[in-house]
Amino acid sequence: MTLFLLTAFCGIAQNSVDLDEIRRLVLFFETAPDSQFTPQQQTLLYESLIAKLSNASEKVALLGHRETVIPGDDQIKTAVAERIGADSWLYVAIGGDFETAYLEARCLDLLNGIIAFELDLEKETIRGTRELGLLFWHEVQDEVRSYFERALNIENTTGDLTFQAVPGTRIRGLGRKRLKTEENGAATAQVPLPSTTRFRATRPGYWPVEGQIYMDQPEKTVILEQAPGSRASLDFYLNNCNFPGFDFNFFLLPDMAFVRAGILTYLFGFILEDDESDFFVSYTLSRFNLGGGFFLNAPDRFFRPYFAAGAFLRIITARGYWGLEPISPFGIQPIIGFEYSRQPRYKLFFEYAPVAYWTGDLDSTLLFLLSLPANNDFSGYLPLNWCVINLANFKLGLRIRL
Amino acid sequence: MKRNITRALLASLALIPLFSCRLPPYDEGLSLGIQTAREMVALGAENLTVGPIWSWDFHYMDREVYFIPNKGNSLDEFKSGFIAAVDERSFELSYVEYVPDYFNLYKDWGTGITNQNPKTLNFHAETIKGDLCLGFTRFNSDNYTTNRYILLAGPPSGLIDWQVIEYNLRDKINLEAFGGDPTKNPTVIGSSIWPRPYSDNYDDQVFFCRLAGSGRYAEVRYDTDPSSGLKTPPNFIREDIEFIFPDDFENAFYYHDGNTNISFLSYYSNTQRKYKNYSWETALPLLKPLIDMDRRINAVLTTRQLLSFEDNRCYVYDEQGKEQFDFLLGGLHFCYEIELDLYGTPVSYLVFTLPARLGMWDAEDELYFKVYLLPTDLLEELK
Repeated sequence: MTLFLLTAFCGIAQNSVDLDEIRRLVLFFETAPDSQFTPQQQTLLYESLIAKLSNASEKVALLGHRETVIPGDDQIKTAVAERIGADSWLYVAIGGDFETAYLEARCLDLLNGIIAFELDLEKETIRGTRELGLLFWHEVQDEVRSYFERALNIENTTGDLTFQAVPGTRIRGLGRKRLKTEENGAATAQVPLPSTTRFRATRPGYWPVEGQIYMDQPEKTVILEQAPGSRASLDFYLNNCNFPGFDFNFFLLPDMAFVRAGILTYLFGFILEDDESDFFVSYTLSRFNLGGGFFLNAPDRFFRPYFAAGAFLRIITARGYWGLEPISPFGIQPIIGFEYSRQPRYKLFFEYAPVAYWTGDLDSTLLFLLSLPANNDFSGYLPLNWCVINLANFKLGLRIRL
Repeated sequence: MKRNITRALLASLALIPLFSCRLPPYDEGLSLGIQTAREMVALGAENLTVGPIWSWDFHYMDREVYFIPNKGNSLDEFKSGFIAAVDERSFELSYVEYVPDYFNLYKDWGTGITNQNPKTLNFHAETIKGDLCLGFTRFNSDNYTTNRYILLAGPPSGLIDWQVIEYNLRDKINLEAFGGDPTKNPTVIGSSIWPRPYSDNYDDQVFFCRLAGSGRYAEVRYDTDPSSGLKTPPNFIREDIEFIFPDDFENAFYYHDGNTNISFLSYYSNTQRKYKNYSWETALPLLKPLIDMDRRINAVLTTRQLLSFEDNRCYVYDEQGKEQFDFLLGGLHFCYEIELDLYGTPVSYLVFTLPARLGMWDAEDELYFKVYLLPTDLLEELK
């Protein structure tokens, strides 16, 4: 579709008129499909209309707008008008032929939210082309003049837009003020009539709802279908790209705040860098983790950062002994992470998760360091009197919402 | 915005190699052993630290490393001893001597031996009274050194063939103890050291059980000399022990208690896939099967309790082979038991190896050992 915007800023602001008082009217002009006008006649009709409207009032500036297809719906006309900076629109359609023409006109004032006028006329062109300039658009010109001369004095018309949603839902997009639904789930805002309003409704625990509403009635109620967020998810990950782990997350607040339990096992893993070592390695140690965290933004965002923290037990499952690891039986782990995906169910996640191993005393701290495998350096480890902190630890994995 | 997020993601992933390949801070032997070590200290066990030792070949840290303390009568004497580094194919023996606040490592005393068959290794080394070490393994040795204190033996399977590293001594033993041609390998089932109480004036004794003929075995005793190792000629205890070993036996253990003249034998039967254990008295050499015991005998205490080390635990049996209790062993190494003036009661030596890592406290690697001396009658408290 070829779209061109013809801007005919024909309104000449007189010195006596305050510029703030000049209204901007966009014209949607079309000929009926069954009309019998030649292209030259159509051009003549359009340009004569432009000339008449431009001189209709010093309080209105005309914005010409021509498309191969004129928006059929008033809501879309309003949206187009808003997009090009107009505060009112005039729709004019003519049919018939050059001798007997049918004219339909409808003007909508976006600022006041009312239909300024409507015309439906049958016109006979007795004096041919000359009459176009003098009489054909006379009624339209008069209506435009009379309305916009007084338009600024009309009291704004608004309607009550009511949202029905889960109590506590916050709704943005209705001006500067944010709405919040009451205990009965309702929240009402006054919006201009007619108008198109975009909104975003959020409620922790529910998926956000976004949309737009065309308000053309004094009262309107919109019921928001808010889907609850996920209650649980499963994490499958590799710790430091070596050893597998698994977490079950239960969302206390769906898709926002969670507690988790899981296991990181060293019973099997693999190392990538050392050519001389075995690819697969195994240690009779596992970590049982408990923790919790919360996301920092809404669940419909592709990129979701979060904070979490947890504690863990180190469990030995060796032959002859199943129990707590005696040198550092437990520790804590703060986590900064994010998940990313365009799919709501499957997410990739990355967590930077330094580990603080509790040792209790300096002797155990030294024993802990001696526990490191041979040829493993100490980089990333920070030994303290009562604990050892491993700063170089991360998780990379897949999160599946259940 | 989306591009920025993608870049952030890629940047995060690019950091992965910096963090990857982090092995866990965990050493099974150390973690399990320290549990028992702490209990021993709580029971009043003497707790000695040997080290730091520098200039040791840390290349050997890939192996199992043991410290074998000298049999002395003072705590300082226990800080000297042999370091044995064992793997599937070889072992290295070095000597470290403690002088107050200083450790001297004598590599000259060490020897390296290559084992041709990894399945046949059964390393056993023990010091004798007088600070010398006798080692027994089931090796096919291809390396003859001049160390006179190392005794080696062992074909890939079946009976153990006897060889002595020190050339002259090897010839003597072959000739005197086994009556054979030095070029022939006489067949030995096993050997053990019987430690004498430190308070008496006798030296430790070494016992061998060897083939004496078809279906007949002999027990031979060597006295030891603190300066030269084995004294020759040997003494024959009995030469008419009748027993038929299966062809598939492996990993034999033999011990003779010089006090009671009771002997113990343990071996693995490949056919039955379990250990078979026997005892007999010298006066009546009829082998009595210990039917309740299906683990290998690894050591015999002065109380004639039998120790078996398996699955990170030490299982303790009475002399009839009935299990009494067990305790966690992990990386603790049971060295031997000896009666000391210091305690007036038999004491068990358990040793921990604590290898320090490169650059941990200093530019050089260091080696530490922890030696625990626990009165034997307190072993039961560890269960």
